[in-house]
Amino acid sequence: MKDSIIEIKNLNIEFSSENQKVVALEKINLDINKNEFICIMGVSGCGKTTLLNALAGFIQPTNGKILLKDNEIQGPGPDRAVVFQDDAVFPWLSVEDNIAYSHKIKSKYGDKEKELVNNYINLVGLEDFKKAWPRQLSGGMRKRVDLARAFSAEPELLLMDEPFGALDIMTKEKLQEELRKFWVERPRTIVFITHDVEEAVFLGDKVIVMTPRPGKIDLIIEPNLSKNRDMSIKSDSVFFDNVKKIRQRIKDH
Amino acid sequence: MKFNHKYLSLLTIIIIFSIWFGITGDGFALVRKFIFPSPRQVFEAILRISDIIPLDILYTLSRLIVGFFLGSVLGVTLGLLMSYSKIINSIFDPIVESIRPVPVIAMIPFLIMWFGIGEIGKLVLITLGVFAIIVVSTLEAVKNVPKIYVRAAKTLGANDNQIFRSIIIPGMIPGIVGPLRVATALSFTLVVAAEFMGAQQGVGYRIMEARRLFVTDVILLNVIIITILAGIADRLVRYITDYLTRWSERK
Repeated sequence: MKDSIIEIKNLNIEFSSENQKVVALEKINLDINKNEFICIMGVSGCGKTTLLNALAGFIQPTNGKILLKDNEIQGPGPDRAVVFQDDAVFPWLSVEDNIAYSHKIKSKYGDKEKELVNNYINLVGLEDFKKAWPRQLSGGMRKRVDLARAFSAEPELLLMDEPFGALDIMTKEKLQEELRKFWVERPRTIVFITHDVEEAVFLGDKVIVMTPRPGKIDLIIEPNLSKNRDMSIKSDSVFFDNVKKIRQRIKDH
Repeated sequence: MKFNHKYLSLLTIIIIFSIWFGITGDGFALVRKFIFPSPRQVFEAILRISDIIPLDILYTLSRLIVGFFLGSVLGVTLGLLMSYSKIINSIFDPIVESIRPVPVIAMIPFLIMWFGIGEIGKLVLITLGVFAIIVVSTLEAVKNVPKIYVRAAKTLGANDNQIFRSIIIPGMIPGIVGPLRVATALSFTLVVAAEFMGAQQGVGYRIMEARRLFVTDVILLNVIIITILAGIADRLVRYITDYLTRWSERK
């Protein structure tokens, strides 16, 4: 029995613009297991966002395929929620309605769904802001709404495209800790894109380092840190060695 | 400090009123009574025609409200349909683009020929003017809804229909707030123009009638009445749209 939920097979993605062909991704082969937390790490232009967009179904492969539970990905779907870097919280819905969005559009919002949504509101610590408009929240709180909304849709795969990229460092570290905590409490398959080495090592159980132009998988590292972790792990030598190893590798690109 | 600013506005009003009083008949009589009536004359005009003022206002407002309502509902509906379906867009785009730049007032002679001087011609004029503004603004407002919301909704499982209802419609509302206020102001211009072209009642008709009889105090009184009504309508529209966009950053 195989436990991989995603299989990426010989994935090639090319973009062509006026007499120029850019190979964004070349020969990507990767299996992702159920409830694995994977970070994809690389410099700008290494195709990591292209890979995420292909997983989300926003773009189609030029060659090769991506299978989600043995079905080829054809387009965006509710089995794959995305958290973007930019603020995507719907400003015209209250915090609660944002987090309940994926359930409310299906017009089945019964007691079971309500409880689920409430659990996520509590998990991100926004129980006092249920009825608030997003504009009344700080950037970090809005990101929490965004995360809770994606988690509450209970997708097979959670895709995160540098979700904390626009936040200040304090908020960013706090949310990294929280995200790791959610994941331990409510295991999900997460693919997290980042260009921040420390973020990748802190969050991921598996870090995939990519090389730029054309984007290829260069290195897969399993940091082997304890399951429950907080920022104090950053002074751990295991953490530091992993960061150093990746930094060195990127320098050689 | 806020207090002082308010008093400043009050001062401006007092000065303007004093100038009006000062240069007209009851003050230093710098302009002839007939050319520009004094405050007292206008007040006397109120007493003189107090029995017809309410009915005039009622007629004018009824025409305006029905025309504005039809124009905005048709404009928003067609605008939304055009942004929802490429086919509908291709069919209606040439029509919208060709009526948009037409100053509707220039159509008055035709409207009289086609619909007579009854209520229909007046409604068509106002509806058309409001419609032209609103349909274009709706198309623009839909285009300006950030794409990231659409993408997020898609990955949360929304289909095209649900995206339209839950993202596009609420997201476009802030974009038509300004145009709705412009359309409100325009409908006042148009209702007066429509009543100029022929009517039996209404503020615009009263102005035209008073012009024929050279009763300038009645003209000025009706100008003041329509101005006050336009001011109230603008407040009302602003109040409603502020409520509809109470979630937005703007405030």
